[in-house]
Amino acid sequence: MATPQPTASLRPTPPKRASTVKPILPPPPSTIHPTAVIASHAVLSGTHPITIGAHCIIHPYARIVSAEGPVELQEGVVVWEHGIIEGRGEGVRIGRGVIVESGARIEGEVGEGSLVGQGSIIGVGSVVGKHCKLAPRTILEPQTRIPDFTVVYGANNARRVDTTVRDKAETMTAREKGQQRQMDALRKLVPGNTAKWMT
Amino acid sequence: MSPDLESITDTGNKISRRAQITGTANITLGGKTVIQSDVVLRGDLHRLPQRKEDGTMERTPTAISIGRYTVISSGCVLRPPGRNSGGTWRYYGMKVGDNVFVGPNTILSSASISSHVHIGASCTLGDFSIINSNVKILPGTVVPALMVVPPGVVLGGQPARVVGELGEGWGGGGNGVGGGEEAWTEGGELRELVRAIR
Amino acid sequence: MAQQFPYTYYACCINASSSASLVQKRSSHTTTADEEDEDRTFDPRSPRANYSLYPLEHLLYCDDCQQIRCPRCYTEEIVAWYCPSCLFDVPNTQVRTEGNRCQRNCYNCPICTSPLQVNPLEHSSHLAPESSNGASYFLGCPYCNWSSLDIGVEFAKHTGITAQLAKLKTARQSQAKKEREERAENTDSNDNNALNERPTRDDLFSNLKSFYKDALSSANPVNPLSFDPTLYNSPPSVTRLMNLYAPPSVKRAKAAKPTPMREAHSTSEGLLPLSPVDEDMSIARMAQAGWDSLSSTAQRSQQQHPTTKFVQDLWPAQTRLLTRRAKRCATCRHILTKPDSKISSTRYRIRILALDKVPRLSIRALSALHTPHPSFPISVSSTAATAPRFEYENLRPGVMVQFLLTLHNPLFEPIRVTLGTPAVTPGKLASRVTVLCPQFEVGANTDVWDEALNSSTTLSSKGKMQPGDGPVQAEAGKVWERGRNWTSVVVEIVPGFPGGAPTGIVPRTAEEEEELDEEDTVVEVPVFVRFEYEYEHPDAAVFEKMREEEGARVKEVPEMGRQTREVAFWTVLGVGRVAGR
Repeated sequence: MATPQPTASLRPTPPKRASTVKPILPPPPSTIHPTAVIASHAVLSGTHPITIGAHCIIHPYARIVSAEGPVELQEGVVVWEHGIIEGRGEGVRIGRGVIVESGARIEGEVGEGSLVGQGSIIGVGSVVGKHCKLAPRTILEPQTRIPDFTVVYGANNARRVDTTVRDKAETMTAREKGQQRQMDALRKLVPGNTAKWMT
Repeated sequence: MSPDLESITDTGNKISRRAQITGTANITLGGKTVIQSDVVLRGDLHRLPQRKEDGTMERTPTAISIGRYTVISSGCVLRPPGRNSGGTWRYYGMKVGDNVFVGPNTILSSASISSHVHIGASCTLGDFSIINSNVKILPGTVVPALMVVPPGVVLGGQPARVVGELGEGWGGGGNGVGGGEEAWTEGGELRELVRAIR
Repeated sequence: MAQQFPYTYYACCINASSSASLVQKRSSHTTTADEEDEDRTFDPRSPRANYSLYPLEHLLYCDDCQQIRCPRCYTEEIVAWYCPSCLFDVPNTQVRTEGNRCQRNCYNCPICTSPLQVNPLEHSSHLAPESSNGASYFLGCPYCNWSSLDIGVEFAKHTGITAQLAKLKTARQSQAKKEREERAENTDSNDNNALNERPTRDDLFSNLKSFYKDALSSANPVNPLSFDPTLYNSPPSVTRLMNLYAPPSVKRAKAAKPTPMREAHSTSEGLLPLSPVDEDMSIARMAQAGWDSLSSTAQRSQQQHPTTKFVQDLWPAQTRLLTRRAKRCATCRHILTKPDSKISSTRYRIRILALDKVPRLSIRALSALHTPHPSFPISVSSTAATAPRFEYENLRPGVMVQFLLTLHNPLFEPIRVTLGTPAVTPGKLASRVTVLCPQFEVGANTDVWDEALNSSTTLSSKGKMQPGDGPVQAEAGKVWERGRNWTSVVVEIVPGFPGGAPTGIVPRTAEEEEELDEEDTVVEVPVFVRFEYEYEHPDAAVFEKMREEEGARVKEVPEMGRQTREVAFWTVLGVGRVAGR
């Protein structure tokens, strides 16, 4: 296999770094939308299918593992560095526009527009609703259900309904617009190496 | 000394070969600073260079700058903060001072962390948070985005709040070297710790 | 306790049950006072010990009393007030008039206490055609996503939030009042009167305040509780002052019982009568909105009106100010620390730390040459990571463990140290303790360069022994190792048997196990530290300077100039925890 080279980058990364995460195992069977950006140091591994939707951004050192089940990332999902998405059982689906922050670990389903905070853990079989926010370092036990528009915060996993976003359309649109701008910026900054994972 | 784990730069920085650094050109290290394994430094998330009046592009601004005798433990993530400004998303520089200790698996997106700050393990410092000098952050603390932490306090909890004040002797007591005892203390000079790490 | 082993705490104020004994102890700080201390072994298990043990960094030192000073024996004076969020120095006068809250734009989230941020609200043109410029602002929490929109508060400008909020609040209160009046007109109940007169919280407060002010001045014209300075100009107050300084017998005869004051009993006096209608309404609201709509105790305590029942009614809380304080010795009134009043500066004008005045004790297991510092949970070197760690949490009862106690001397004079420990530690877990070398010297904290220059001669490791692989043979009466300003000695500790079964062979029953508190398995060793050193008397310094100018050698200082100073204190060493089984 040829050494993967970063396809589009503003600044060439040193070649020794590009070669450090050369996959040893064959890449998983994956369907990747051509507009998705998968950074050269991101890792996709496993044997079950991985689906990555349009405009997704997988940051360097993020991992998507399908060893125990398929993974589906819908349109516009962002997975930050050290974020891990692990397929389990029937499969793990991450909804449209979900942001998986640094160091978060997801083994359950996350609904559209939700934000999974830094270092949070979503246990196996959990279902997080739409437009939720898990504050940083939230730990959801396996099989937890979080209804739509819920904010989970604090050391004791307190919950509240995000009435601002639920009831005020303008806050929702402002948030989506902001997210869109961030993704536009990221697409310019993060060197993608999507071709490496195309099968 | 295991040469396969650390590389020492000209200015005495000790950087693990297993550190995960992107955008190396946009990162400045003050010297005698330690970056342990699996530390992510997102130097690639920088402000896009602007076109100057004479038509040439300006130099890419520094994304992350770290001072002297600062220790970033393994598994940490340093990501410059970003926000919407004037219709576009922009990243801003992140500044870490001297003699700062950052515990393992902590995620930093602060705008600035001053000197003599001790950050425990598994903390999260939100975007644009500002940590003034002489602050102790207990392990597992979540500092909300944009929070300003005054000097001389102990911070803890989720979300972070001021839970106490530091004693007047904070950072002191590390002056005596020897006896097989470690010569560094929380908030004190970390020179000896940096020297000991290999 | 989450403290990680090993640790050292310093005791202060162990005998100070009252300020009187405090003064007495300080004034006769010689052998007599110290002997009293020695008579009774300090028990780290006693309930009171918690209030007298501190880490060394938190302790100050009074040069005049020659004693360690802890929060119980120093007083504090506020140097400056500042807002922790905007780091603005609030002048004292403003604090006095407007209270200890930031009057600028700093607010905390009423739900989760995070600092709130002012965010622009982008009205889409079709959604809010009535807004003139299209932009308005709201306070939002970056952590729990609460926003002022939840309580229907929007701002026209992004500055002057406090003024805008106050305006909104009064508007709301008047509206609520109007609604209530309307409702009262509609319902034909007996509470009509009460409802009509129902004032706002702020009105109630000012009513109550004026009521108490009147009551105090009329019922008891010379009330000492009154802060009004004009009272001291009146003749009755003069007589009262005179009485204060009169002999006790006269005073007692004249002291009359204070006449009981009447309490407020109407709304005009600040009383809030219970209104059944309101109560019914809030009960109905609770039933409808459910548990999640109720505010928690923590949230209520943040509110200006701690009776706020519903999350919907929670108001953003102004950030509380913090203070910088100077500290004074409670006995001799000398200033111990005085910080710079400017918040931006972290320097101190005066700072006398115990850290610089008494030796620092640190303990670690002799076999573990590199124990990771509890505050620095990282592997320092690859060899240290693989080397077996000493398990402080897993001491075996009855098995002797050697610890290394190191004393660092911060003083510029060499000190002579005497250590004292009880043979058996107090408490349920009776561990035997032996300090192999209880008397030794610690070198002066001289310049580091001196050490480097003289290393070949003075530091020829007098008592140093090479640590072998097997159990180390430490010689009694000899120090283990010695450096420039530090000396370490070996302490042998035989951890006791939890539950006090000295045989240890008979397995304990479950009942006996249960009796043991978790704290009872901690091996804590009280150590009495006494050190003395010779120092230059201030007068002698002048004398010496004269001698120096004449070219005499420094060492020939006359005996009269040297004085011996002696300081003693208790410390507690936490060396580990005995394994449960």
